[in-house]
Amino acid sequence: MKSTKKIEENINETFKVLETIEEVKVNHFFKHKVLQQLENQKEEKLPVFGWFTPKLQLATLGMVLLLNVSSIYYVFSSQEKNTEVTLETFAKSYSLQTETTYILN
Amino acid sequence: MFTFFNNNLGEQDFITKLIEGNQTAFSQLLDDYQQKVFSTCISFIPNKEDAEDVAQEVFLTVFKSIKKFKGDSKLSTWIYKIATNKCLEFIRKKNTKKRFAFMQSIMGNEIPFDKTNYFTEFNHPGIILENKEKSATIFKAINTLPEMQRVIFTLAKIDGKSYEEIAEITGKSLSSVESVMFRAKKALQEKLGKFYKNNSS
Repeated sequence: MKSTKKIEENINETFKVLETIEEVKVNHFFKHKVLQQLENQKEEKLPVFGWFTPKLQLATLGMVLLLNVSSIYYVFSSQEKNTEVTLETFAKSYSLQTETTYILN
Repeated sequence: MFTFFNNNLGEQDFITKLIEGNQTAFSQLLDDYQQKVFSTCISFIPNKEDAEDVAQEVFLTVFKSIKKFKGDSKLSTWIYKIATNKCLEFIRKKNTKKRFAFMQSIMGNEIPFDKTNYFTEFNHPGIILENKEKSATIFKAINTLPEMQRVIFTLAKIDGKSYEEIAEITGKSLSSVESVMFRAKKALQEKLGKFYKNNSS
């Protein structure tokens, strides 16, 4: 019973501590520091690629993607013709064409 | 001290100046709010240096995102909202770092870090020495509350804001703030009760 009372007292005292917290004054140089940081950020913000706005970035990305897709399409569509061409050239270079078989008869 | 906030029109003019990047307006904003924002920060973060760093970050964010401020609330409410979020973010990051360091020490990579949470580094200059132990106890207990209870209790009892202001900052109704506050107090009483019971035995 006594200990319960003591615990309650302790709890109340702990809550009371919050009322005794004094205001802590901000550092005198706080404003100066913030303005300095702002100034530094502004200097950093003068970028070389400032003109490269998000709209332009998106357009460039679109162009690159289009180029990639068209080159892939070109490669695959010309591959079939190429195989025919290469077969012909292969047959020619190894004399495997039907014309050459007359010589043997 | 002269402020720009005598009426709504004044505040609107002031915000326009801030958006235009007016240096005098920035300076005025700092004069008006540096102490208030710092007080809010030190209420959440009981360490002067850390609270000051976070307060600086708050102003940098305010200046950076003032263009996004739509004026649905008062400028002060918006600034306190940023301050509260920055403080919670800071505490979250600190606690994660500590947990990570603790895990590393378990795995065998010894790092000279405190093994418990951020609130073991208690350094609040507004608390007199004889109250330091009790303050550390209650700050630790507050930090274990659910986030909304923690925010509302801290703003009300440590930062000294009114329930109306808290309702605006948190975007909750007045009755909701009161009920969360009631639950926070009850939870804290239970936590402190358990703590003192364990310590007395």
